[in-house]
Amino acid sequence: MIKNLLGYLLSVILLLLIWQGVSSLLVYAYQDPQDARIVRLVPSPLTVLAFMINHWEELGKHLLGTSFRLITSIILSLALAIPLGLYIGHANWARRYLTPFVYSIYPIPKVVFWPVIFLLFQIGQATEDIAKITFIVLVVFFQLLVSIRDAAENIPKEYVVTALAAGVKPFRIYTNVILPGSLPAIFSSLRVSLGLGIFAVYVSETTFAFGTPEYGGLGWFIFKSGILNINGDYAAIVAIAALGLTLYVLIEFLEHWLCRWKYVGHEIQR
Amino acid sequence: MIEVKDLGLVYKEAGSGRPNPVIQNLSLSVEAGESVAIIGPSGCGKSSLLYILSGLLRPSSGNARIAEQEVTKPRQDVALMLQESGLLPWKSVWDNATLGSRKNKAERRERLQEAFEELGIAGMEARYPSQISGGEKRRVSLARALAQEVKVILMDEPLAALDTLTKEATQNLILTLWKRHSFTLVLVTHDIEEALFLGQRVLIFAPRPTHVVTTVENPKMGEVSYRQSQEFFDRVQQVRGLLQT
Repeated sequence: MIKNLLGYLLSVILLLLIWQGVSSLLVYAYQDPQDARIVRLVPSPLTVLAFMINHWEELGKHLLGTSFRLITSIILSLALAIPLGLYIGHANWARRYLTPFVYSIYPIPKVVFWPVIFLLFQIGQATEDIAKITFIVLVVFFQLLVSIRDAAENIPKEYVVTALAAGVKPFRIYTNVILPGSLPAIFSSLRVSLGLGIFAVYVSETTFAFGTPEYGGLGWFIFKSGILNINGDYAAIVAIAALGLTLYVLIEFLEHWLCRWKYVGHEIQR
Repeated sequence: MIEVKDLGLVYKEAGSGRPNPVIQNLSLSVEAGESVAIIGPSGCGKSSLLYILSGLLRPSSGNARIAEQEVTKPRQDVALMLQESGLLPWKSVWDNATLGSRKNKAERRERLQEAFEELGIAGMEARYPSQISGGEKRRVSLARALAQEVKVILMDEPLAALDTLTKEATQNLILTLWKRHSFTLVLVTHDIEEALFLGQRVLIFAPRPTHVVTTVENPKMGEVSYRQSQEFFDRVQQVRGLLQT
């Protein structure tokens, strides 16, 4: 885990170096004052850092808003998708009759429903968050549901037979076999869903019915800044990336803890 | 101890849904404390018979009884050992060995510690299955059965994936435990020598739909001198001949 954290740290440093390189290249390539607009399109990381320090309070509130919506939506999606996915993947009748239903809905692009959901919930400031969370859950839930269903279906039959023959009651097969056996796939799907969730939270935050919300989120901050405040855009992008990275590391930490059986023994050379 | 009468099992073929008879009019009986080996061609329904005896599969016709009770669901006094040892990779050795046990915690701990010591796996309780060898995995499965004080152990090719030396050591261990604990043993195997070393009787099964073709009496099973004798090799040839016909 420590090695992985070091890897993340080195990746962030590499990314910052590439960013600084592109920014310096633009400064070098466009020295004519008339081209200053182009140079401003990619500010240096230090310029963005200075912006972040100067606007930390405003950015912090938007970061809190985005984090609340994203984390709440992911927890809700997991709470719905795990029991349902495990059941559909394991129970014979559900696998037979509900799988076609799930697969029929899965390819529908959920993002197109955002205007409908927004208008349905457009009653007050509080319900705007409910609308956004509903939308993000809609986007993330089906991704998780399909992966969890498939993982539960692919648990080797031998494990179920072993547990049943040992006297484990059929309903406890879920906690003893299906859930722990599906956990690695759940974490894998969670990582993909996190990327989708960030996309969905951005889309949802570009719309607000009530003026300039204080906790409107980083999506709102970017939308509001537009091309007039490039440094602000980059600061919000950095904040979203930091949020995403923190959540990825958290997921990895949780996976190492809950699936520690996967990480014991010798690591093979690859 | 085990009575199987006119047992039939018909699977529905995936896709076409056509009935596929696997077992037909199978009758056999196993005495309490007896060791019986079953040998037959691949896919003849040997494993399905064990699933029926362990209460995981309902027969299409006939019935199976253990200790004079019809088998309709898994029983605490019957253990099933599978080819790949049947340990759950996400549970520690200890948690695997206590899986499904309905004994109270103190009694379970005491019995299991005794079984772990008897089987030479004490000290491995906290490890995961991926951290122990194939032979040790079989010992954990046996420890689970011993701690449950089962009356019947059903083994579905439990030693198939082991190397020769580990396989022989585990065969000797099974034999020792069988003599010491007097459980009834039903062993399904593809290995003729294993069947003749561990089975007091060897039942030869026919291809699908299966039934017992013949029974080879094997009173000298378990004797080391018998395993190295000409008589043993003659019997191996006899069983091989029966399987080929």
